[in-house]
Parts: sequence; C-alpha cells; structure tokens
Amino acid sequence: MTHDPTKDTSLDADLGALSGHVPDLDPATAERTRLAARRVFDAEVALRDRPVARVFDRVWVRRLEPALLAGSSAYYLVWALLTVSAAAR
Amino acid sequence: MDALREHTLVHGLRHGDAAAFDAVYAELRPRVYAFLLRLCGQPALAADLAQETWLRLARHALSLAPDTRLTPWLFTVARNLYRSHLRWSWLSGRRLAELTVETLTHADPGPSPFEALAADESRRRLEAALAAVPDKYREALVLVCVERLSPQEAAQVAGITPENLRQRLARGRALLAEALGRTRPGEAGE
Repeated sequence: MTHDPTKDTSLDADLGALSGHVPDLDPATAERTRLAARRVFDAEVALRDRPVARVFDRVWVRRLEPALLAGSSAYYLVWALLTVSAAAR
Repeated sequence: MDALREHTLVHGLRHGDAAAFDAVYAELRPRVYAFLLRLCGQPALAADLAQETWLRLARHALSLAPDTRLTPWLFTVARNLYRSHLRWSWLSGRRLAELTVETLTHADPGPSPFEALAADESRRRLEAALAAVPDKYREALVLVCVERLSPQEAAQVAGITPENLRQRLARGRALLAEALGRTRPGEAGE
C-alpha cells in the first residue's frame, strides 16, 4: 500500500479505540428487536416450505392488497372532495 | 467475524437456521446500533433504524448469496435506511450534527447520549468532534476507522468508488483534526 500523506495515524488510532466504547441497545429493546426479527425470519422459513402460500404472500399480501387499499382510499378521498365541493355550491 | 464463521452463519441463514440468525444478531447487533448512532446522533432513531435493519435481514436471509459479507451487508442496509429517513425528515444531517454538538457543549450536566457513549473526557471530545463532521465524511470515517471495514467494503456500503472514499476519508480526517485542534501533516479536499 502506498503512503497516504493525508493519513493521521494517531487520529486513526483514537478513532479505532472508539469501537470498543459503544452503548448497546438496552436489554429490553434488544430482546424486542430480536423477537420481532425472528418472527419475520420464522415466517419466511415457513413460507419457503409452502409454495402456494408463498405465491399468495408475494402476489396478494405484498402487492395487490396494498395497491387496492391505496386505490380505494384515493377513490373515497376524491369522492369526499367532490361531495364537499358540490355541497359548498 | 472471521471468514469461516461468517460463511457458516450465512449458510445457516440461507437454510433457515434460527440459531444462525440469533448468533448473527448477538454478534453484530452492537456494531449496527453503534454505526447508526454515530450516523444519526439520536439513540431512539438509531434503535428504530436498527430494528428495521434486522427485519430486512430476516426478510432476505433465505435469498442471501453464499458469499455475502454480513457486516457490509447490514451496514449498507442501515446506511440506506438512515439516508431514506433523512430524505423524509425536516432535519438535515447537518442540523442533526449541530444538535448533537449543542447537546454536548451546552446541555445541562445530565447524561447525554454521547456521554453514555464516551465515558472519559478525551473520548467525549472525539465523539463530539466526529458528530460535527458533515455526514458523508463522518460516514467514511466511521466505516473505515471505527468499524474497521476495508476501503473496498466501505466504498460499497457508501455506494461510491474507492477513490471517492479515499478523498472523503482525507477530507474527514482534516476536518476532524481541525475540530480537535490538532496539526495535520497535509490537507486534502474533495
């Protein structure tokens, strides 16, 4: 490796020492996070073994249903705005 | 984390081994949280982003490539989540850094986030100076100097070229040295 004239070795050493002095998540939050992630991980593993359920999850739960919900929300919002504006006239 | 152990854990994750997931979580949780805390300066936000990072790993664990390097993978996700948060937040990264420094220098003597982070005075000064370095330079310094990622891995996490990373590192070191009142062997700009 070529010498880097901009490198400050004492500064780098001080920064490197910071890696040993970091707070962790508090135990309750850490455990909550682990459990939440494990639930998702276990669900993904369960879906892997059930191809039909996996397709349902990927196509309906993750894509179509949110799109339909967003679409219907937009429809009712426009309907509400038109109704209010008609009533105002 | 050595390469063999990492390979074993990635193999376990890809095959749905819950013990492998718990092992990765136990080993890398503090580093992911610390990385996020140094990026954003807010413990609550860092905890939220850390949780989302682990959820992302849970969702994608089965489809990881066999040669995935877990630490850079997690840091990339964490960094992208933080960037995404910044885009939606009225607070810019610069303002967050300023708030952190204000907290450190003007707050009452009660424990601040970084007082917990840095127990002694010199570490506290260094953490404060690091927090005041603009986002992109601080990110490079934390990835390479604190988290000890290789320049190639750090460039990958930050989504930039190795040369660009080298420039950011040089500039970051200069800014940090200036903030600490240290003389520099040379100055560099990006």
